[in-house]
Amino acid sequence: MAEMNPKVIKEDKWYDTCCGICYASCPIRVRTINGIPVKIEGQPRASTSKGAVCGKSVGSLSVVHDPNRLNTPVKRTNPVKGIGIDPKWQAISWEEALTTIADKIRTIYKEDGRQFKINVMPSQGSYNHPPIWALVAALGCTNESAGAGGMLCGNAAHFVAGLTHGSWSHTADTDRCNYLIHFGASKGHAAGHGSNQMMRSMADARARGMKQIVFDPMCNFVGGKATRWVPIIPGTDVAVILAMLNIILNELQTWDDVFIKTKTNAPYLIGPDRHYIRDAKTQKPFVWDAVEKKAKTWDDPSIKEFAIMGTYDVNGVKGTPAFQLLREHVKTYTPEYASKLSSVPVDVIRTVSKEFVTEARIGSTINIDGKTYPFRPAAAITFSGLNNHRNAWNSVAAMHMLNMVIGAMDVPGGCMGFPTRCFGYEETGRPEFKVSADPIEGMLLAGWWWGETTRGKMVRHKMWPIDMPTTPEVSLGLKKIWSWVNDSPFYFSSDRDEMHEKLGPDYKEAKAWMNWGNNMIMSGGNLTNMEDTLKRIPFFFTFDLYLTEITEFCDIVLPDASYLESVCADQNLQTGFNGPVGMKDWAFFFRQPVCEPVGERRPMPDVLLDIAWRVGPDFYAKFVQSFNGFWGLEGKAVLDTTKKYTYAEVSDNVLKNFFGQEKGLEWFKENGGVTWPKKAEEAFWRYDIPARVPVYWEFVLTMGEKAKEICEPRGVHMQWEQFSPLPSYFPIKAHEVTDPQYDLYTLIYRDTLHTGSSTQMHPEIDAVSDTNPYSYYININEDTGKKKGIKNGQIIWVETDRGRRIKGPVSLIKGLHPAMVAVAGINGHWSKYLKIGRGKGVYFNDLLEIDKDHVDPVSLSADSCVKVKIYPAKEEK
Amino acid sequence: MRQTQPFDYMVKYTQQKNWIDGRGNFIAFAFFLGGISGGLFMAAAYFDSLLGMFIAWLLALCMGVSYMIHLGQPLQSWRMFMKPGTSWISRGFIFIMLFIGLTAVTLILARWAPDATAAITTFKVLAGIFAFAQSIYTGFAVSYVSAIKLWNSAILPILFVVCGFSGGLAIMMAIAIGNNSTDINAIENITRITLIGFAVILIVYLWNSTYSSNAAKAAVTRVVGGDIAPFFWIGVIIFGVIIPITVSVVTYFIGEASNALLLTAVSAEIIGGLSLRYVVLKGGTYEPLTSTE
Amino acid sequence: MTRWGMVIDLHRCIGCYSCVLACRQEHFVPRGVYFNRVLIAEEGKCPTVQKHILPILCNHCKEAACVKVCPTGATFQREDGIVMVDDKKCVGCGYCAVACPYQQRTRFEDPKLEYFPGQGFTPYELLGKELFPYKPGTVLKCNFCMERVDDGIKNGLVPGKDREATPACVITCPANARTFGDLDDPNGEVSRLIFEKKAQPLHAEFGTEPSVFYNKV
Repeated sequence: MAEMNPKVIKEDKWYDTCCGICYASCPIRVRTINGIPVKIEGQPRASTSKGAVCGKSVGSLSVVHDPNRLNTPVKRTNPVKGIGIDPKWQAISWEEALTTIADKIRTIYKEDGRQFKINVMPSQGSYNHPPIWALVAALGCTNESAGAGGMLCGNAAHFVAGLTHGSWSHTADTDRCNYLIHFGASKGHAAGHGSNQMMRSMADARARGMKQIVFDPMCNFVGGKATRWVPIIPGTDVAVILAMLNIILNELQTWDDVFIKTKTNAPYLIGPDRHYIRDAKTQKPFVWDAVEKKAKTWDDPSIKEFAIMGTYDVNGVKGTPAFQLLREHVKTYTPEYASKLSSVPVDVIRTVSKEFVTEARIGSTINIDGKTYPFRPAAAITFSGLNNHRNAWNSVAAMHMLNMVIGAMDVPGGCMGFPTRCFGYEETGRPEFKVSADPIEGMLLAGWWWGETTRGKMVRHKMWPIDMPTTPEVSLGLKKIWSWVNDSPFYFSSDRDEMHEKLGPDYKEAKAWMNWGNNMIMSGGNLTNMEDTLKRIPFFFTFDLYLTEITEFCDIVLPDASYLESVCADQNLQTGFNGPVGMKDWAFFFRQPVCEPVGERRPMPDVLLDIAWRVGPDFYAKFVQSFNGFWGLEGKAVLDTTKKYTYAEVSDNVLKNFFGQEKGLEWFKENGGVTWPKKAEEAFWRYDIPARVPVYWEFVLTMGEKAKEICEPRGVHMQWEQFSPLPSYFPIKAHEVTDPQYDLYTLIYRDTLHTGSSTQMHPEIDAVSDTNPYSYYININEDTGKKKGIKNGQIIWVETDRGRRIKGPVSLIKGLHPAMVAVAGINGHWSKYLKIGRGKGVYFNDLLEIDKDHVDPVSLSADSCVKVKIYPAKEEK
Repeated sequence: MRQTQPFDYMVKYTQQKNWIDGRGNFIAFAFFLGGISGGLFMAAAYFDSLLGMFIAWLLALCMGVSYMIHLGQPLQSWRMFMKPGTSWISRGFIFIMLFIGLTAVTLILARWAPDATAAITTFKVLAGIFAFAQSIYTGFAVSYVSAIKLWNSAILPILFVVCGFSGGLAIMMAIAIGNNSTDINAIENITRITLIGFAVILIVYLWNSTYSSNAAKAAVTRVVGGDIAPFFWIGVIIFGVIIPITVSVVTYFIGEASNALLLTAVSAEIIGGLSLRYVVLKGGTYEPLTSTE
Repeated sequence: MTRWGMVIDLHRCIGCYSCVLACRQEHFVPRGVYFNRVLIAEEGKCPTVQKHILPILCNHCKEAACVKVCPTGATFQREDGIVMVDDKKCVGCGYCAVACPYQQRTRFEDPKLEYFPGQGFTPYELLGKELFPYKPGTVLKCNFCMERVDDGIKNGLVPGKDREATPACVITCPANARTFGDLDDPNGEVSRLIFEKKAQPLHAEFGTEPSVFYNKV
């Protein structure tokens, strides 16, 4: 074999930076030889990934010199927009592109800034969202979403995590957990949540003996490592969870009494109207002191003993502790009923319930850093498996209640926020995430440090207090009614026009859309829907690395710089999916370019700064002020709203603000990152804060009542009963299909090799995708395939009861529920400019309906499960 | 074996790809030529046919060319004699070189010094030994590969050398027909025995392989009933066994056989020999590295 | 005497392909050639299905079949156990590739294969051709990152402990499933893991005495 020829090396440099392939933003080191990026390795100083990095990152090295990258701005010369219709791109100068865009934005800004829509990508570790939010803030606009992928992402999960963990999402303290139940969650295996951090942590946990019980239709990434894989019909997990709660609370009669009484609203008294019984003066909910036998407000320091069972008279009103109602409610969910719905055997439901409470070791404690904490080494986690269905909120809320009843919330071994509390860098005390309790109802107030912006609360992920539904509506996504929702489907649903007619704002369309890296034509619902939405946009510009499918609807495409070619200071400051969980040390690494952008590529943040400057000084001032507010910049770090900045300069200020005046951009370029020790109080804050989590979701009932009050009179009917204070099973649309020819359910899932629709462009990742039986195939259970006479490699159609269909090659596998069809997303590119990704894998989302009846009425999560039939595709020339 | 998907590699039975298909076919061709060249020389030496020995020598040269085409770096081929201690290819290289050299000397002596009978005989015998070695070594080279159970059989070298000998006899027969030689009957007799022996050894080889391991069984299944079956049944059995044996039986009973019939048998045996090497190499199947069904 | 070896923990491994890709990247391996692979297989029947993930690479066997069958001596085993190929001597007969029971050797056939077919070589590929000038027609395989190992030892680093001296597939693994070290050191990490986890080589019945061990628990 050829030995290495070191004489070729003229320059050899290593850069400390962060990956930008998925939102985990794992710290990496990149080597360049003679200015060419040649190697991606993990960052050994990162407490999270501990020097490792996954295949997606390694395989993405080719993104810099990919000949299919867009290198100049282009504008369309063909006015006709549609799928497969050539825009007939013409290369233009940056000057022309930005002048055109700035003019459009200025016009909108002067008329009505709300007439703009932003699409971001929910992933892409670049996390350069602040400049985009600055744009909407300057416009005074609230039409922002993570394209279409967002509503197939975490609407319910983020909402519930915000309320229960004060964080964007949740995971488990896998450094100490012994028993982990996954409900459709592949954290630590294929998911981007924590990516390498979770991969390492879960592997360590497995090696230590942690058991993994995996409820998943597919035995693949996480099911394949499970101690017990439990195949389950999608959308029925909530019934199983409620049955487990029934067994735990009513049969085993075991729960963490201290946690229930002091850290949840279990003792709160509920009246016959299903709402809290409140103190008239303070509006604080009442509880019943079982010793003094009287009603007191929940935070009354004189309470001797919280009653959680019984019925009590509160000034003539019958009040029942929420816990009592919960126990009665879950009684209707027998294991037999849950088994019938889900196909999970009764004995499995019983065994897992028993093991869960046994492994939770309720009452035990552990000493960490000299402090004593409750030790609850059992947890349940989820994400897409519960979130991507029409019963998303009920499912996710129910799951979190499993952790509540065993007291495994932000204590050692249990379910954790991602992370929730931070006292800040030792030298500066920043960033500071201060979690606290709402004084009225005791609910958790998330302390993410994102400051006030003109954009409003969504940026701060402050779920509490809930902005109840109000009119008039100002957003095209109807987010005055659904204010707690991150990503609204109503920007592009098939009933969008009808919903806007009845509920919408006083403007019907955005006059312009801006897209950043999102490929929503592929990540949304069916193509008819998506095409119809995108075709109507009067002016649509995007930043992208390639001429992807969505660019077929754009007027101007701007060539973005990839993560290896651009700077981003705050990538890891936003710890949504990458913060060090549990006792892992804080580690902040920033992203710097390892080479100059090739061609005329320019990083999006710099371009937006340029555009904002061109729009005008007033606009620019608001734009820059948004940065000041967003990061809470203080003192010398405050940005001058009259100065023209590059994003590197902004990053410099941001870094200095958080880590000290000596630790700006140049320091970070040299040193890569800062790490400092985690304190136990930061990791396990639960018992430090008087806040409570809801076992009874009283405010959800209010949310539903208010939404119904607005919608019903306007002729919009939705399943309002899903706004239930006690999570319940509601069938998804797929469960209601009775025609026997549609006998299979669909699953779209995330492949360990891919994220979104961007990784298929990388030849190395594409090459290994073909070496496994999942990535590029439609998976059917082997026995199901045999019964239907389907053979391996055969091309089949998968068709829904609504006549939508997709096509692809079959791979028969054993590890799949017999009633399932599984496809890894998001594949099946068709853009002729994507020479590597085109035609690879199967395009799934065309099967999906997106309208008010196919989304969760509470969280507006879309449903990725449809009922289908399969049949061979004839040879087509 | 169902159609192989890329992810079946080393999970299901995986066929070796280096010594077959594309450039790899030149190895099959070379093995065949080695066998037939060695077999022809032994037959020609026995029947004292200069032409036969010369053709055997030419076939050996062709084998060398075929090997060179297969090699990735043929210019380094001079190094191939370096490891006779452990490498059958190295030994084979030496055998082939010695066979070519000794045969050349034999032929030169026979042609230009026909009276030097002692020397001629000595060189002829030595060449004959290396003819045998050249004919059998490919069987050893292949059976040395313990991971391919179809190959890892004690019978394989014998099968190859007997096949080579029968192919050599076939060419010897063609030469005898061309010369109107009186040796035709003797050649026919030896051929009959060789053919029957070949058929028996082949059946024993395949049958016994099904006992040795699952991979071998899977390989034999491919050979007799899978994707390789056409080459096996048509090439090896019909051309390599049935046609020659039928002709042999017919000539035994009718006494005098037409040249056309005999030449048919000759061509069939040659096709059969080539097919056998192809089938064995293509059937080479590895044990899966991980669990499979 | 040092004998480099590896332990791969199959209980940790999640099949993310990082090892496959990092290895290719480290050595600018030509397209179509893999030094590391990940095999996926299933056993059983729903719901008691076992998904097998098997990362494989050259085992650097103590009794390597490839070393024995090589006619030119191009394939040889170093004193530290690393089996390598001297491409100056390799004649490309493919015997080693055929003889390896683990099929971990590949003859480099087509130097014209591009990352982006029909679109020319990228600067990375061109640099790779200069840095690692693989000869077409010769056999390529994993060399336990001997460049890293040798350079590391020269600079006083310990392979298996210090990242720069440790094979790329080992340091990249997110699940920390691979450990590299000296099999002849009974107190070393790999020896300890083999003992504690009852690690076994792959298909020991091939008789080649691999230096790569696997454990399932």
